Amino acid sequence: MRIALIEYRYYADSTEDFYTEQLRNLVSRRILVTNQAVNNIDAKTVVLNHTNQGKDIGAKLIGIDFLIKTNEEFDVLVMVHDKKSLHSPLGNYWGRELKKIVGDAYLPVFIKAMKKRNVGICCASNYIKSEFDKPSGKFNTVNNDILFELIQKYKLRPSPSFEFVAGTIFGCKWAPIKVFFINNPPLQIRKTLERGNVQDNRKGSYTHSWERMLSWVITSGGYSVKGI
Amino acid sequence: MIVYDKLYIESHCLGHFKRLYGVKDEIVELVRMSCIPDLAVWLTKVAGSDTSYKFSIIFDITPSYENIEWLVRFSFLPGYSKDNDRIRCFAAPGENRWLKEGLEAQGYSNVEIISPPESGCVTLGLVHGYIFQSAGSSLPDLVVTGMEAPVEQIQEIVPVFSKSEMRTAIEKINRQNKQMENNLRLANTELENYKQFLKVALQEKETEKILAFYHKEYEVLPLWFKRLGHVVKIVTGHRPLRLKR
Repeated sequence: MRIALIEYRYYADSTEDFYTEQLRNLVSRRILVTNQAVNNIDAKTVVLNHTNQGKDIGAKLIGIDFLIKTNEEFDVLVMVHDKKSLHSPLGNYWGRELKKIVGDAYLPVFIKAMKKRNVGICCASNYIKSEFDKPSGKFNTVNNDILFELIQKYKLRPSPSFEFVAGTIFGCKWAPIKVFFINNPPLQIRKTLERGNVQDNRKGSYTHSWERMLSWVITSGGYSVKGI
Repeated sequence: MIVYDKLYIESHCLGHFKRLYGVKDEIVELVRMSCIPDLAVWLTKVAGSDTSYKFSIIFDITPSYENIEWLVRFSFLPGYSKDNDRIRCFAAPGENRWLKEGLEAQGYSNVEIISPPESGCVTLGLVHGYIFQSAGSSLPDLVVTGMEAPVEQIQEIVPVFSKSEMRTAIEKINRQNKQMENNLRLANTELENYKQFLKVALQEKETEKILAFYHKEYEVLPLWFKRLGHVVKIVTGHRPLRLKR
C-alpha cells in the first residue's frame, strides 16, 4: 500500500511528532507544509511553505496540488495537522483524539480498514459528524448557504447523511481525491479561502465549508466513512 | 564599490560569477520560466534540493492562469527567496497586474514585481545588471543579468561586498579594536605603577634628607643640652611637668 502523508505544522512550539518510526516505514511520500525551521528531513519528505490562507485546509490543498503535479501514484492519503483549537477549552483533547489514527496503537487498524474496497475515509470515530437536518433540508450550521453553493458548483453527491470528519484529520483513498482535484485545481479553490485565523462562530466561511467538502469529495464516489 | 543586500544572478551567469567572486550566502538564482523545459520535473528536482539553494523566478511566459499557478507552486518551495507573506517576482516592464493579483490571491500580502529599468543598467567590471531598492529596505539589491570577458581578467573585478562580508569585516575591526583597547589599558596600568614607584622612591629620598638634617641639627648635641632644653620648655609652658611615680 502506497501512502502519502500531508502534515501541516503551523505552531512554532509544536513538539508533536506524527512521523513515528512505524508511519515512516509505511509512507512513500511525506509533504510537510510549514513555515517553521525543520530538521532531520528524510528522502521521502518534501517541505513546502504556505501563506496564512485557509488555515489547515489551505495548507492541505497546497500538499494535494504538489502530489498531483508531481504525478506520483498512491493508494491512500493521510492528512494531519498540529491541531490546537485555541478557541476551545477542549482543543487539546480534540487534537489527541483525532490524531490517534496515525499513532502506533491504531495504525494497524487504520491500514486494515483502508484496505477494504468500500471504505473511503478512516478517522477517529467520535469525529464523524452530520449536520444535515432531513425535515428542513438544511445544514444545521452557519455554513449552510456556502455548503449548498459548493455542492452545486462541484456537482457532489455525498451520502444522504452528509457525514464528514470534523477536524480534517483522516486517511482516505487517493483515487477520488486525485480525480476531483485534477478537474478542480486545488490552488483555484485555495484562492476562495479566507485569510488569517478565520472562525465560523457567527458567519459561515469557505474554509470551514471545505472542511466538510473534503470528506464529501470522497463519499460522493460511493465510499463509506469508517470510525476507529 | 557597491554594498548590497541580496544578489540575484540569472542562471546563465551563475557559474561564471561564482568562479570569479566565490560563493556568497546572499546569492539567489534568477530562473527564467521560459528556460524550464518541464515544469513538473523542475518542481520535483528543486523540492528535493539542498536547503541552502535560493531562487527566484523571471516570469517571461504567457500570463495564463495555468502558468501563474506554476509560479505560485514554485513560490511555496522553501528555496524561493521570500519573507513569509512578502514575495518578489521578476518580469519584463509593462502590465503586470495579473501576476500581482495571482500571487495576492494565494495569501501573499506584499507582492513586488521587479522589472529591469529601461535605462540605468550598470556595468561593474565584468558584471552587467541593475540595482533596485525596495521601500523600507536599508540596502539595495543587485541583479546580475550578464557577464562578459574571460576568467583571466580577474584584476578588473570591481569590489562587490555582500552584507555578510561587511559584517565579517566589521567584526574583525571590532576584534582588533578590543585587542588594542586591552593593550592600552595594560600600558596605562603599567605607567601608573611606575608613577607610584617613583613617588615612593622620591619620598624615601626626602625622608633620608630629613633624617640627616635631624641628625645633623639635633642628634649630635650633648645630652645635658637636650635635658636643659626640656627644662626650658616646662618653664615657658610648652610642655607639662610629669613626675614619675
